[in-house]
Amino acid sequence: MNIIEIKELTKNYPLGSTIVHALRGIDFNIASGDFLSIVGPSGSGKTTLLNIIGCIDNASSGSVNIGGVEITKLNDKEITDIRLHKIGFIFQTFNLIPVLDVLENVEFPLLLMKNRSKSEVKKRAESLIDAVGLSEHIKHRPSELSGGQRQRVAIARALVTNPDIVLADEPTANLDSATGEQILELMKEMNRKEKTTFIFSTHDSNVIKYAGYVLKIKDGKMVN
Amino acid sequence: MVRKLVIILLFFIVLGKEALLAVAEPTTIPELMKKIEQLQEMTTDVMARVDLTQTKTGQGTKKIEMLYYRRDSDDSFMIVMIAPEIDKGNGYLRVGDNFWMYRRNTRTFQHINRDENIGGSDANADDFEKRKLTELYAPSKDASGNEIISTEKLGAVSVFRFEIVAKVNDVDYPKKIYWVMQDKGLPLKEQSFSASGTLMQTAYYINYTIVEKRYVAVKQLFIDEFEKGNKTLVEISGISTKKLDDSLFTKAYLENISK
Amino acid sequence: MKFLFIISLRNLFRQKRRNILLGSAMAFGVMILIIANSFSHGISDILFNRIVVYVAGHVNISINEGKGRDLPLFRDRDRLTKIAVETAGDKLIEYNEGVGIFLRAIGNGKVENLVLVGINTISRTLTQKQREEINESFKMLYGKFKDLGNKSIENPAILSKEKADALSVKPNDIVRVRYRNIYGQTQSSRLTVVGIMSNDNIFMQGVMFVELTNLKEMMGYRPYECGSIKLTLKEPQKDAADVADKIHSALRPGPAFILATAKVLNQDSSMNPDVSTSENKNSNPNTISSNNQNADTSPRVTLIPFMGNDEPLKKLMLSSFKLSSGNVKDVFGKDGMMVSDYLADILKIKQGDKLEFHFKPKFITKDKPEFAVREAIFSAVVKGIFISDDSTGKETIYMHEALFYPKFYENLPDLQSDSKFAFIPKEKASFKPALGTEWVLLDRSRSTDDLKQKLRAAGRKKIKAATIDVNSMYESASDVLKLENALNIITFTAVLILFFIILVGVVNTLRMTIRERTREIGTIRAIGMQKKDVLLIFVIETAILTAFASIAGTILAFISMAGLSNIAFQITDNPMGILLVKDRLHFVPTFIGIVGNIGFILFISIITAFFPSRKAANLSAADALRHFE
Repeated sequence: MNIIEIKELTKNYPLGSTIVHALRGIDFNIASGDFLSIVGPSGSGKTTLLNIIGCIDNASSGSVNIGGVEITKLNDKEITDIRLHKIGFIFQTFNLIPVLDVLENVEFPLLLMKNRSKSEVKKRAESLIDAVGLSEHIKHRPSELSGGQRQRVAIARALVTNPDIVLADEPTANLDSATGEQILELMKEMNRKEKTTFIFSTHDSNVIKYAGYVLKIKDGKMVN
Repeated sequence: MVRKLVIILLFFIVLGKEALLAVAEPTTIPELMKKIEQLQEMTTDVMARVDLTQTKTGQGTKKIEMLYYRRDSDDSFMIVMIAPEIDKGNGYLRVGDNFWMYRRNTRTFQHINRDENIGGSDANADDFEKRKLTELYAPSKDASGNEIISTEKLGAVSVFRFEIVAKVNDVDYPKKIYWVMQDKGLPLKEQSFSASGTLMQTAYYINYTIVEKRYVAVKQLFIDEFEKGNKTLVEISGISTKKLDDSLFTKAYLENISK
Repeated sequence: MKFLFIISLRNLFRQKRRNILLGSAMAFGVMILIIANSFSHGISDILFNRIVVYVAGHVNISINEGKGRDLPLFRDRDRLTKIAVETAGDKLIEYNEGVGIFLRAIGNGKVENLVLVGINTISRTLTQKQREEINESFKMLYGKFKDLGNKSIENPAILSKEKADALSVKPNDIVRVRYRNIYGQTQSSRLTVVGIMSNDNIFMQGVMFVELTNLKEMMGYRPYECGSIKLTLKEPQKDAADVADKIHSALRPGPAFILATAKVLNQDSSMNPDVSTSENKNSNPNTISSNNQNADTSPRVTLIPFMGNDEPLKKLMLSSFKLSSGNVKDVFGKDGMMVSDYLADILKIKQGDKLEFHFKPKFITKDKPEFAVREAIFSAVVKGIFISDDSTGKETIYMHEALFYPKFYENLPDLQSDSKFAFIPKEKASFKPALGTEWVLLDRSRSTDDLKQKLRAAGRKKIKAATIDVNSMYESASDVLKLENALNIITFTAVLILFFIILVGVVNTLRMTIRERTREIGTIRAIGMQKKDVLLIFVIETAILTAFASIAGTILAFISMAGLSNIAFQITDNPMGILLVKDRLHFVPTFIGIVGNIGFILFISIITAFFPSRKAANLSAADALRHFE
């Protein structure tokens, strides 16, 4: 069963007076529970593709169907809801909210979902923090954590809503290789445990070995 | 202050009727009052210059000079101030029911309704309506019901001294005493009393002149008996009884004369 | 919502220095606004509650019986006060007769102008609060307040230290005063200084106090008469206008008439002393007994006034009455009087005859023999005879208002008991609107200007009946309210300029913040926060800052006002001194004023914050995430 179906996807955006063709017709499907890596050099269109799949950027043409919903036809409010409920994000620069502590950062997406009880939210967040091994840092602010710890928090935050897909854009780029591997191990483990589809981009060949599938992309086109 | 004086003027620039006859003794107070009334009856146009000399304790003397015009046909009058400098050119004009105050420095006329107070003073335009002495006052009577009247000498002049009391309650002074020349019926002295019987003012009619066969009190002295030392001397000169031109009693004339 | 608030609050503390600076500026603005507002409210409080209310009360019933002149005289005090007190009911604290005169006073060789005010010290029962207020306004340096009521002293009076010095008088000295009584007569009296007070209120320094009954007598009121009535209410703001409305409707006048016996005066006996005035202080008792001589031939008649000074009403009379003799101009003119044909027959009179009327006044006072009038008498000339019918009445005489009212008021008849015997034309009679009433009730006015205009119009009409006007201070002193509003607008405008400068700071700060947090905005949008929540985060942040600043500003304002009102200003001969209370600035902060101002500032800052915040919310998540500082 495909969780993502992409057809003839293109993306152009203006840069100064020229138009950049970031994606030039991408077609592929991703099955539920995959652990997929998008690989390509800088500027190949990895991030653009991930952004479109993650519903934070829109396609210029083509169709993107996530969990049976054609997202190119949705308005901002609906698409924001899809992000909240179906997608988790892990960023290269972690992007935790600096004024919130670890627990609050992980609770954050759940709090955005209305009508959830406080205790339920807390229990779910704590179980994920425990799963990423940060139970002892629950009250720490992001600035008090190391890079690896921050990315663990980000993983917990991405998974806390029990999303269909977790998107990770160069999750290990800002980490040393050892920590990077730990993070990928963790992601893989979560993929197994929670049956969540993981899509991550990287240009690091060391990282690729963790991927179940690899999608190579170059100049906005898929390469076999 | 000036406003108040205007009112005084109306009562005291008075031209006596021709040929006041000698008064035969004995005389009653109502007869004498009638004489005074006649003195106040004006039946002619008048133009005169009026000088007021006010003396106030602690404030020295202030001289006010003005020209006074009266038209007989409808009892209109006009007053133009000459001195002091601050009031020069200001004027008052009454034609029929309309009464105006003219202010030279602002070149404006203030219209005064007959029922309104004049510029914040307690004088009212109604005050300008003349009411006869006999309508306002009645002879005083002693315990046995006789009129209080006696003969006296005021200086070298033989006079009747008599008392009158107000019979309406809206007069300035509820009680007055007059000293009137026995032969001509002209008042020489007048005392005015408050409701509680305190002497408030003494007036002396010092000098009478005959103008066009009429008696005019050209020199009058008012002594404030309440605030001792305050007094006002009224001197009237240049009296003319020639017919006055109608164009005199207009706002335009008042404006022009003040330019 | 709660966690949006938490995020906003924590965000606010991220840039402490920047926000403290901005907050201080806002707090300063709030402080100035509250101080200015309290000060202008203080000024109007002084004008309103210490001066206007003092002069006119919360509700004022003013009377003018003057024929063109101001004559504040109502002939039946008890009736008027009863209506006022019963209507106001339990909303009333007290009522007073507003009596005061300007006078010239002579002390020991010195002359001063003063205002003499009557105070009811004898019959009034005071509440504790009133006692305190009196003690506060009368700080007696010598003598006691209650000495005013001492009957063994000639006109006891209390005056301020300033005026006592100016007149160089000491306690027990006599001050001679000259003034005009209500009728305009010059009057002089002796006042005995029984007390000297110190008074901080400049307005009160020129005031000399005497017992109300003494002052009323000095002014020429008879014991049963009164001037204007002023009412003090418990909750003036709430009740004043309403009480004034109710008193106004309770004061609707009934018809005026005199029930008299009429007899023909022999035209030949004109040597009869003038009896045209009823109240003759010199009248001897025989006039009373002589009246009973031919009681049999004197029919009882009803004298009814018509409003001949009002042209339309005069025309109405003209068209409603048919004359069998007399000419219209005389009959409906100033001294006009017409007798019914029925009465003319009985009395055998014709046009030009003189009638004498005798009637019983309502008030026969025993304690003041000089006012004792057992029977009022007056005479008038018959100007015409009208053809009577059921609507005009048979034993009736109609009089021009100018002829009727002076006699009517001079010796007010007892209308209530007389009405059983008098002929009172029916409401449906065509000429009823032209007939005189006991008094003329002026319409209620909405503002000072309205009031002035109304009184001027009433003056122009030359109504001969007394006029009654009911006002609450909110109408009679609406100018004071206007002044307060003007002051508020001025200070508010000034402070608004200050605030615009501050708000430029708010916008600037917010734009900076948004720039700094662009990636954060991208993150939370990516995670799934809706646009409106992003907007709210920033708006709430500004609102919290403003709220904190407002609270700080309010506290600062109160500290400053406490400080300022501790400074004593020694202004003695400057009119601005009126605006001080006990030599000090008078601030009256009001809850509504403060909340209103803060509310307004919050509103302004939220509006200002809204636009940059919306811009932040509308950022594309992808662009925001790409943003690197």
